[in-house]
Amino acid sequence: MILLLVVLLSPFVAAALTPLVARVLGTRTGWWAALVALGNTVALLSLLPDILHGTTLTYTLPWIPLLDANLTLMVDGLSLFFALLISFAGCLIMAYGRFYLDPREEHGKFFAYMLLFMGSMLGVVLTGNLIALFVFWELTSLSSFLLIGFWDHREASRYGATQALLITAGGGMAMLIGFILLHQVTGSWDVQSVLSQGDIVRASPLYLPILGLVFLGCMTKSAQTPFHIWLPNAMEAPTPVSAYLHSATMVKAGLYLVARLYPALSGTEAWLYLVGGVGILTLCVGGFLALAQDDLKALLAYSTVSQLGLIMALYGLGTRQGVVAGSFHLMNHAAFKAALFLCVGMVEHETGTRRLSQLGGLWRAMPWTGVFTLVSAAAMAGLPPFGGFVSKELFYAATLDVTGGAERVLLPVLAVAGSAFTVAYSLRLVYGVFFGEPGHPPKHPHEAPLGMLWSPLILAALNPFLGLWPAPADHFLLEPMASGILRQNVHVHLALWHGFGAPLLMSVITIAAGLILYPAWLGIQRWQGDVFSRFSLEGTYKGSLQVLSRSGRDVSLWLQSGFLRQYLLWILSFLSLVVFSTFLWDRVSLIPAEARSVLSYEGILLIMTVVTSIAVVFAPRPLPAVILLGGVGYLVGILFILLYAPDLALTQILIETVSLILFLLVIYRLPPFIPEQASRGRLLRDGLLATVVGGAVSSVVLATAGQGYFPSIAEFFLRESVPGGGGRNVVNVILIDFRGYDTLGEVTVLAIALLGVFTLLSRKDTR
Amino acid sequence: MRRATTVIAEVVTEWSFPVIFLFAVYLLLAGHNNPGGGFIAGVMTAAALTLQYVVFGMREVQRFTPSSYLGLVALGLTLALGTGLGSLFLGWGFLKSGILHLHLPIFGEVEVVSAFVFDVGVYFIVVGVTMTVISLLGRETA
Repeated sequence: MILLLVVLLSPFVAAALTPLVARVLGTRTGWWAALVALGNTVALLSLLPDILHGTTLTYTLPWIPLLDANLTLMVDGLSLFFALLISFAGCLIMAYGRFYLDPREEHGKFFAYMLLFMGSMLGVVLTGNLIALFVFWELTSLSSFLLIGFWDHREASRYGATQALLITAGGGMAMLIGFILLHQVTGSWDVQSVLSQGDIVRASPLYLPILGLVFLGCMTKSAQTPFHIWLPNAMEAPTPVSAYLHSATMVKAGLYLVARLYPALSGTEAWLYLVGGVGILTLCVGGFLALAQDDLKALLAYSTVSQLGLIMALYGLGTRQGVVAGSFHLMNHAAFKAALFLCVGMVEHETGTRRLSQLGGLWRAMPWTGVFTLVSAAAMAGLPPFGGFVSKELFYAATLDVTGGAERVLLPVLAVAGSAFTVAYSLRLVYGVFFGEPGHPPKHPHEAPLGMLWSPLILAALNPFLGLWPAPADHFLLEPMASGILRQNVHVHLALWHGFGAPLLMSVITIAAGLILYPAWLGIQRWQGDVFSRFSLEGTYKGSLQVLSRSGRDVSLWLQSGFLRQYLLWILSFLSLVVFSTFLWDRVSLIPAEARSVLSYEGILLIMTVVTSIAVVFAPRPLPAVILLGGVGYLVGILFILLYAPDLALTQILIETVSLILFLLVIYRLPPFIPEQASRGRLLRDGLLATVVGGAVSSVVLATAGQGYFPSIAEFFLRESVPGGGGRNVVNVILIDFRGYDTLGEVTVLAIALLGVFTLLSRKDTR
Repeated sequence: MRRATTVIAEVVTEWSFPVIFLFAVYLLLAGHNNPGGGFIAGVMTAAALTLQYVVFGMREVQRFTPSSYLGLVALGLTLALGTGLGSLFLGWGFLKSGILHLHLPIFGEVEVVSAFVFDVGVYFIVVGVTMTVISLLGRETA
């Protein structure tokens, strides 16, 4: 399916074009970005019939086929749901963003970043290869960094951006190690193949490390306790970014991965305790912290933390019911939370503040915003007749269904407690902004412009739709999604009314408890302030960052003293250490397999080389030393000719010539040479090092000629040169074909080094 | 400023430069089947230019070469990377070589390998890097 590749690449291409588009469209650039997202949505919808039939669509672009590293794209119900969510939410939010951003701001930059993020996020969910998944995963962290720090003149933005990057990219590193271990166990980077080997993975002794490391990546990305601290700080981003990245899509990447790897990793006690435990803890902690916030976006951020915890807990249960409930709540959450963020954005846009203490009684001034907020908040609180109610009932039913010891009681209790906080802060959000005493915002409030209202209208309208008539969402999205997660056909029947039963009772308790908790927010706020002044995760983060940067600096100063000889000392002694330890360990023989006597002219050449080399060491000044060194080089070049290696000889002689001239130019610029009175100790050290390094290099040469420690690959190159590389000069074919990757890397390094040289030498004060 | 060089050096340089340069081009073209290749050809070209520089000075060299050699490096990197991406999008995998057999009027059967473009990239990078460093170091002495 080439269409998949187009869907994946189009946001990246569009992002690259956006700066040009912005020159023409100016403040209307948002429409362009929204159009790209809309196109993607339509393209993805066209795949729906195939997915409904239960097919998994794939497309493979070979990258390094030998290493199983390919850009494999794969779409099943789970990927398709996420891809649709990303494109559709992206479309609405970018259209909204066009009104949200001030006309004086850089629209081109903003939407280029947004599209870049959209592409990366699509990459995460569409790829079927673990390495590619990791790359896109880190790309979302990077684009999130750019977007949080969009207002880079603000200290808080820069802090929030850096913190989010450090935490999520750090988790990503752990995840990469987890993937590598997973590859060790399954022998494949391909997601489908990994998923089919679930039993092997679970039985492996590496199962716990894999689960822990991969889940660490999911925890940081989805802001699970105790890594949730970055999410509230990320609220410094423009509100469309918060709505898109930090509620609808990116923070769900962790949930996506948990769902994706569900068949491979779930079904153990460790899974229940780790994923379920962390999830339910996050649900309660997030809800508790959300209730006492004064900043509306911080309230929503903690609420997002809490809701993500809820979904994580559902996946963590490891039951079919849990997966269905989690997936349905994920849909609901995307709808109500994105709508709430957009509403808060409008409140901020029209009043100039988002502090609850300055707001109140906006119902008359902003009726539409009020209605959207009310509907979405009611869905969040889990009130009928909205989708949130249905998923909350499913959540309760799923927690009641768990078999086991303590968790059988603990889970439902914590579920009700966490949800009671949700009811309380939802109430606080609606009441605090739209009812009660009128506040004193900086701007005179009025309704947001019509263009801005569309996106929250559509998102908010989804909530009653999902509650009253869940059949379409059920059939077209939820069933394929759950089937994709569980990799078997799942049939779901959703209904608003589940009849009288324990879940309904729990819902009633939740609402009652929420109403009781609501007035307590002021007390909780005081208590939190008191606790956080003494201990906070934020402080731990700052402290560990300080320790890290201090020790980093110390190590750097110790290793990188700025003296060339110091660097050489490290590099060369490490090289010798590696060579000698390997050779001793493997008992490598240094006796050549075949030997012949040295011919007379070869002997003369070798003696000349040795004598010249010794002369280099005793040269009185740099200039003669350089010329003598060049002499050694030419002599080696002649040796190559005698040994029938024309390419090497040509290269050697040319390089000697050019580098001799470079040396002379450099010496010309160096300060006058002052012979240094080196201490006896240093002379001894340098002499010793030189001997050891010389010995190491000689051993490598001898071992190469020796009895099979390095099996010769010359046969392969000689055989494959003409058919595989189309050339008879094997040296050249190796350089540009067989080892083309190396060469590409080398020339890139060369170019980068050149940039350094260029910068250094272009300074006016050279000399 | 002209340096104190001998007439012999000047004449030899003037006559040998085209020969060295042509030989470098030959090395580049022939490299896939005979001794040579982008790297050697690049160093050879740089050596020819350096000879010009030693005898006539930097200004003379820059009269017939691009004013900024960094551009050559960028061009070379683009060619090298482009070869890789080109074969990637043809579905062969990154940097996989394609071989094309052509019948040309004068040359007869000619084999064109996609890796040749890569080699040309390497050539430009080597020339660019060497000449950038030499022109920077030789700036004030020229």
